[in-house]
Parts: sequence; C-alpha cells; structure tokens
Amino acid sequence: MDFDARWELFLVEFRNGLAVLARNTLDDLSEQAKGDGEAFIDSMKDDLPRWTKALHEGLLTKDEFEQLLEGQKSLLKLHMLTAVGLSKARLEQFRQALISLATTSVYSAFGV
Amino acid sequence: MLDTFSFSRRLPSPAVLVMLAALLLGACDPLIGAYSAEAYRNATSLKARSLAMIDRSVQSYSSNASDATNLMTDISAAYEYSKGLENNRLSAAQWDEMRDPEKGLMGGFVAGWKRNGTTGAFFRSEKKAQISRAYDYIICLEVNKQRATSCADLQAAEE
Repeated sequence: MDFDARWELFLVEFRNGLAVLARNTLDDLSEQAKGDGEAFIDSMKDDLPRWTKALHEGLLTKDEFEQLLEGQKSLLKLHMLTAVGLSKARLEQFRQALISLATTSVYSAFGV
Repeated sequence: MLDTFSFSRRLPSPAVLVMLAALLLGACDPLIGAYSAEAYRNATSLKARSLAMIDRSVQSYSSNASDATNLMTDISAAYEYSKGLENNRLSAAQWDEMRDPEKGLMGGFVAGWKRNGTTGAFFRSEKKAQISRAYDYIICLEVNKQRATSCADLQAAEE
C-alpha cells in the first residue's frame, strides 16, 4: 500500500474513532449538567416554604432559619464547583482518549 | 531555489506529525488533578462523623466541645491535604466552604451550636440533609476525576 492510501486509512480510522469518542465523552455532559441544575432548583423550591412554615410555627428559631439559608448558599457554591469540576474531568478524559486514538490509528494505518 | 518536491522532502511525514501532536497534547498540564483515594476516604469518613455530630447537638455544646473541635480540626486537615494536591483548586474550595465558620456548612453549624448551646429537632433534621448533600458534592467531584459517574447514581448506591 502506498503512502497516500495509508494516510487515507489513518484519516478514516481517526475520524470514525473521534466521532465515537466525542459522542461517548461529551454528549451526555450537557444533559447531566442540566439535570443536576434542575434537581438543585427543585430542592430549593421545596425547602424554602417548609422552613418558612416551620419558623412561623416555632419549630425553628430565627438563628436556625438563617443558618439554613446560609447553608443553601454554600450548597449552591458546592454545586457550581462540582459542575465546573465535572466538565474539566470529562475534557481531561477526552484529551487522554484523543492522544490514545491518534497513536493507535497511526500504528494501525502505517504499521509503525 | 526550493522546488515543491524538495520542500515536501524536508517536512516530517504525516505519521510523525500526528505522533508529535499526540506528544504535545500529552505534555500539557492536566485540566484537573488526579483522583485521590485519601481525599475520597476523608470525605466519606468525615461525612459519617459530621452527621453523627449533628445528632449530638441535642445535647449542650459544652459537653461535646472537645469532640466537635477534633472534628473541625480533621475537616481543616482534609482541606489542607486537598489544597496541597496539584491542579486541585476546585476540591480545595469545596473543603474551604465546609470548614469556614462564617459559611453555612459544618464550620457554620458548629459555630451556631456553640452560640446557642443546643439545636432544635427540626433544624437538626434539615441541617443533616444539607451537610449530607454537601459531602456528596465533594465525593462526586473526587470520583469523577477517575471515571465519569453520575452524582445521582452515587447517592442512590449510598442509600
């Protein structure tokens, strides 16, 4: 097989691998981020009325109510940090897989 | 004069270029730090100890002060460990939020317990749910450094 044919073979293998890799690694990331964000908002929606009711009924002191609100702010921060971290982790896994794909495609097409 | 043939002869072959590109990609700093089994153990064991400590806040702070201080020292140690790992800024920021007495997680809880002496049943139940979720975020981020795992799946496995 001449060089051009081997190069075409490499490109075909690399492109096919890249399509599968991108689909497996990145496609579900935005779906997961969206789902996690909605779950967080849902929990906020349930918590605030329950705490307000408990405050009015004397089950919570004002100080405890404020501590719970502060806790919710902290949870939002942890949620955002996790979301950013998950994106970075997926991109890092994608980068590693891309290196591996390029190397194996070259080995396969050129027999090096 | 440089003709097209001699110019192309000077370029490395595409196979070599691809290998070089792969090597360059591999030489970049990782986008996020590596998974740490120690950090994972810190999060899971401190989660259990923190939830147990919230239960104990039905009693006076003064009778639990020593244990509460030890727990906060261990949470601070987990923060310092996390901060010392390479490319680990996000996890360290999570631990910082957990330990800070001015914020709403364990540091804030212990500060409130100390200020008020004891805590009410409703507050304890809600705070336990909050702190549990906070640790789940820390655990989820750590696990995902090793393999892509849904945070919801981790919580379901725990339950």
